This record gives sequence, structure tokens and C-alpha cells, in this order.
Amino acid sequence: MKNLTLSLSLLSLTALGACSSINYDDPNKVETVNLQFGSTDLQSMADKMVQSLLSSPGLQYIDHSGKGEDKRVVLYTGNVNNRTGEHIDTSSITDTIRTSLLKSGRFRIAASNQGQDELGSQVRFQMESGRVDPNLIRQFGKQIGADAVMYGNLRSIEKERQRSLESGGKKTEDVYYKFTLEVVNIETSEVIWMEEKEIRKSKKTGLFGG
Amino acid sequence: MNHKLLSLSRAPLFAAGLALLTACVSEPRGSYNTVRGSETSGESTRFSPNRELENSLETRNIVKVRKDGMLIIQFELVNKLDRALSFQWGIEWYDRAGLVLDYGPGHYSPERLSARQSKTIKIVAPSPEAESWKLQVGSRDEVR
Repeated sequence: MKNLTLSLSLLSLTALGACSSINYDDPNKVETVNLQFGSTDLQSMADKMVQSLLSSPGLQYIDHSGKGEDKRVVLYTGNVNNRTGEHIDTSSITDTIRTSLLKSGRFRIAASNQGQDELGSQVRFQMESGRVDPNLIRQFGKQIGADAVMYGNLRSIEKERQRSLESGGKKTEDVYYKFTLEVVNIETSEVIWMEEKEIRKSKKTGLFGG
Repeated sequence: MNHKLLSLSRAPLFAAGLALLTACVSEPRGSYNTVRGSETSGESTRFSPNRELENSLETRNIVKVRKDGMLIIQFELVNKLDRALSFQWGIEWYDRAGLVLDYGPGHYSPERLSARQSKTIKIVAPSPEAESWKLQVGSRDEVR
């Protein structure tokens, strides 16, 4: 009987260990796989910035003589410098912000660097390749000029406390992210909007944890 | 007697079989409690199937205001327990026709409140078209 119980216990453990599967899951779910920058951090940062941009009275419109009826702010999204110790593709944060701003209908968005590169090669193709019907070649030099530029920084502070008697054998890791974004009026160089988003994540590992 | 003994000896086998079957199936971790509201209606409607969470966490002082064309809602989350409470919340926005505005803050936000702590959260709708919302509060259900 003892042997049977032992065998069954081992069998159950093996079954649990063998459990492996691939599933599709909700991209909006909270992710805490590890302490590194993750999808929930990206979404939280982008959300905070979008909400602040949409509700800022200073970004309702920018008017100048060249503008027609549409007084919405034309925004160019520049770079977000990654000043953390991690490899983070910060353009994914600005992509999410651009998408939300454009869909909100509150802003006009000027083409990004990637867009300008693509446009440049298409202009050259239309003008120089000789393959495009001259009647269908588009007029160039009509791009919208941005009213303001958005750029920012992502910084982090990482700390760790090793296991000790004082900590009861627990190891503590802590990471603090600060994402700062600002919008500057191109003509005046005045900062017309600025926002910060902070995130703190910490991990405590027990005596026998990895 | 022998028959009874045989049945008893099979019990662990049955348990092991059940363990094998359930080893790859995760258990549901509690449903979401929902608060729905709109710009025009006075009262918000609540649906709270997760009684444990409902008894631990209160959503109160819901404020709605349209400012510079954007609908803003604010609510207070209150931990009613004498110990820390972890949960997550998310919000969906709808236009006048009731169609979901499937962009903006659609993700779940993790939250941790200390004993008896409260937190006020303010959210701006993703578009001027937003007229109603659905706030969902649930147990932490993370990709680990």
C-alpha cells in the first residue's frame, strides 16, 4: 500500500510537471512575468499621457495665419530617449500615443521619421523612375507643417537588497520608472504641455526562491 | 468484505486519475464586478457577482463631468479590510449608439491598497464621442 501511494504521488507530480500549453490570451491583461519593463507598463504610460494630452486646455488648438478652418494642433512625435539600463523600444510607447491621439480626432499628426523616409522614396519613384503616368504624378511640397513637437525621456532606478538575517532571508528587488513627456511650440520653443508617469514594481523572494 | 477492501484500495487510483485529468486545467479565479454609467443617466448600475470582492472593496463617489469637450469620470476605490488588498480594474467607453470605443485605456490596471486605504482615480474618455462607460473591478488575474 505504501508503495502504491508513493507511486501515485510521483505520477501526479510528473503529470503536473509535464503540463505545458500555448494559449492566446487577452493583451490587456496585467503582466508580471518579471520585473523588467512590460506590456502593462507600456499601456499605463501611454494611457496617462493620452489622457493628459486630450484634457489639456493648452492643446485645444494652435492658430496661425497659414491655417485654414481646422485649428487643431498638428503634432510631430519625436524620440523618447531610453535612459534605463534595459533595452526598451520606446517607439512602441509613442506609437500607442500617436494611435490614440489620431483616433480621438482631437489632434492632427504629422508623419514620423519612418513616414518621411517612405514618402521620400515614393516621391523619388514618382519623379525619377519614368514608370508613373505623368498625369497621375502627385504634386509635392504640400506637407503640413507641425505646430508642436513631442519628445521625452524614460528613466529608471533599480535597487536590490540581498538575503540577510535582518531581512529574514528574503531578497528584495525594486524598479522605479519615470516617463516624462513634453510638447514644445515650434515657433516659440515654449513648453506648452508636460506630464510624468511613475511606476514602481518590486519583487520579494523567499529563502528558497529563485 | 473483500469487495469493500477492493473499492477502498481503488480510491487513491481514482484520485490520481482525477489529478491527471485536472492537472492542465486552470480554475476560474473569480468574476468581475461591474459599474455602468452614462453622461445622461443620474444613477450608475451595479452588478456584483463577486461577493468576496464586493465585501472587500467599495467603489464610491463617482463623478462625471464634460470638460473642454471630453467626458471625464472620477471614482474612489476603498479597501474595507484591515489588511492589504490586491485587485485590478479596467474601463470601456461607448458612444451614443452604444458602440464600444475600442481604443484608449482598455487594459487592466493592477492596484494594491493598504488596509482601509482609498484611492481616487480620474480617467479621461478616449474621444469626444464617449457618452457612457463600464468599469470592471476583479481579482488579480495576471500573465505570470
